[in-house]
Amino acid sequence: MYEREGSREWPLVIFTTALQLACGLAIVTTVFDFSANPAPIGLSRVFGIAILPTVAAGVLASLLHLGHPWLAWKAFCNFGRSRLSVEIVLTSLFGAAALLDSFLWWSGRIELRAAIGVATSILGLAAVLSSAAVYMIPSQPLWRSGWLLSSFVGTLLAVGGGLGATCGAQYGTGVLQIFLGLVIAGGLLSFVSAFWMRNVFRRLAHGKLVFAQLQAIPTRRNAGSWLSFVLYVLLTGILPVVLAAAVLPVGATGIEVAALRLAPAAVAAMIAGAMLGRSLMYSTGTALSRF
Amino acid sequence: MRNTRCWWKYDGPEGKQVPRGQIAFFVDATKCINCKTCEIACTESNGSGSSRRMRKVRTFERGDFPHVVAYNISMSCNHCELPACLEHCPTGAYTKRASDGIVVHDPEKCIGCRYCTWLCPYGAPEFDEDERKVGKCNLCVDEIETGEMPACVKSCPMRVIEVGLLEEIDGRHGATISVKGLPPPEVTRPACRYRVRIEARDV
Repeated sequence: MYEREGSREWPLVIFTTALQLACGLAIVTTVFDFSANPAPIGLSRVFGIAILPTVAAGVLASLLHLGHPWLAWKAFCNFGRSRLSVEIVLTSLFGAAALLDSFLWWSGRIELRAAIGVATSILGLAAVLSSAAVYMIPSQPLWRSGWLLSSFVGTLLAVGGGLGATCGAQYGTGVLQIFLGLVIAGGLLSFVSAFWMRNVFRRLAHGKLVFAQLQAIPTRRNAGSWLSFVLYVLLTGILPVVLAAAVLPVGATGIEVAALRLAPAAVAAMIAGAMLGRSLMYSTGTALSRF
Repeated sequence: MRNTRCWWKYDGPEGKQVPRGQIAFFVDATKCINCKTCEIACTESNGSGSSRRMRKVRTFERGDFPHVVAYNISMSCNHCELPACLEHCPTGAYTKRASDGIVVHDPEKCIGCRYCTWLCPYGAPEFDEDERKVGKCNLCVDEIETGEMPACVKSCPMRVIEVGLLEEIDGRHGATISVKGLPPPEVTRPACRYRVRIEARDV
């Protein structure tokens, strides 16, 4: 009777992950601009240009979640009260800043790029935090917990740091080590948030909140959910920390080779893991069972 | 003969029935036999699609043998004092009428984002796959304004569901919103009241 599982909401999974990825890109490219050698080289320029398409892809995916996507503009109407309206406004502002930032990276102009990069990063962070606030609502006790915010920020730091590590060595060992530090911090945050989430689910499943009890996915005997959870922990928590910790102490000559070899695959794995974790979160978002 | 008129209202100007305060459902779950006639009447009256039910009869089973208890709760929108759907709907599709406290959903403003289906702890708003929009119980507001009772009230063969003024309902014996299996009422402060067996009361 109480075993109805919510939708995995893949459009929203793509949206939230893309938003975190785009914010990570904005932060990483801004760090490039503040390094000793800010000239755009190879991948770093690609990252700068990729901020806008990443935000755009996320926004387009989010429209697929709507029953009537062409009426999406109405979602601005309740800006003063609705958390969802706030998220949409901040994401739009982030998108506008990303347009300018990506244009500057594409055109190769570096005069204002660092300042625009800072603004884009701040707006990106605000958009990510507001997207977490959308789900931390009183009627969803499984979501109304610090693990959700930790998981969003963890993905942002781990994926952003991982992307930076792919070409960070070009900007010096210090810059690369900052990115590896971000990967470790993001990975640890994701690891902690995964088990925090599991504990919240378990605690509420045995409490008096039936509407939480109905939803507790990892506590259920559900092979798909268990597999998602294990992959989520492995790919976003353990893998980035292990790889970054292994590369961090390597000498200056070995850093670039090791980072370039491992980082792209690790980042792809982290994104996949984050998407699995997010889909697991959405699948718990149901109210009282219908039957 | 059963009274299907709104006794708690008085005739206002232009033939409209004017309320005197927050109106709400009173559901005597001790009499509910889970026949789901209310669900059918609601769906037919509101023209809901097959994938949406604005009123639902839920069966709750609790306890371990031999100390088990089962009860049926017929529930639609609770027309809460602090409706989360209204607060956070991005398009402002929800309004709470000042005159009678009914929370009304405007389908013209709805974009089908489904945020309200997560916001409501009682699962009142439901997404219709055919319309691609959300809908919920408007307490048959058109019927109410002409002095008629909502479809669920008129159809229930056990006379489980009633509508009346909250201040009057609150004074009835056994009326509560703290029911085992339901979300804690302090989240949205529902206006509706339920009478349940003592084992089902969340004290």
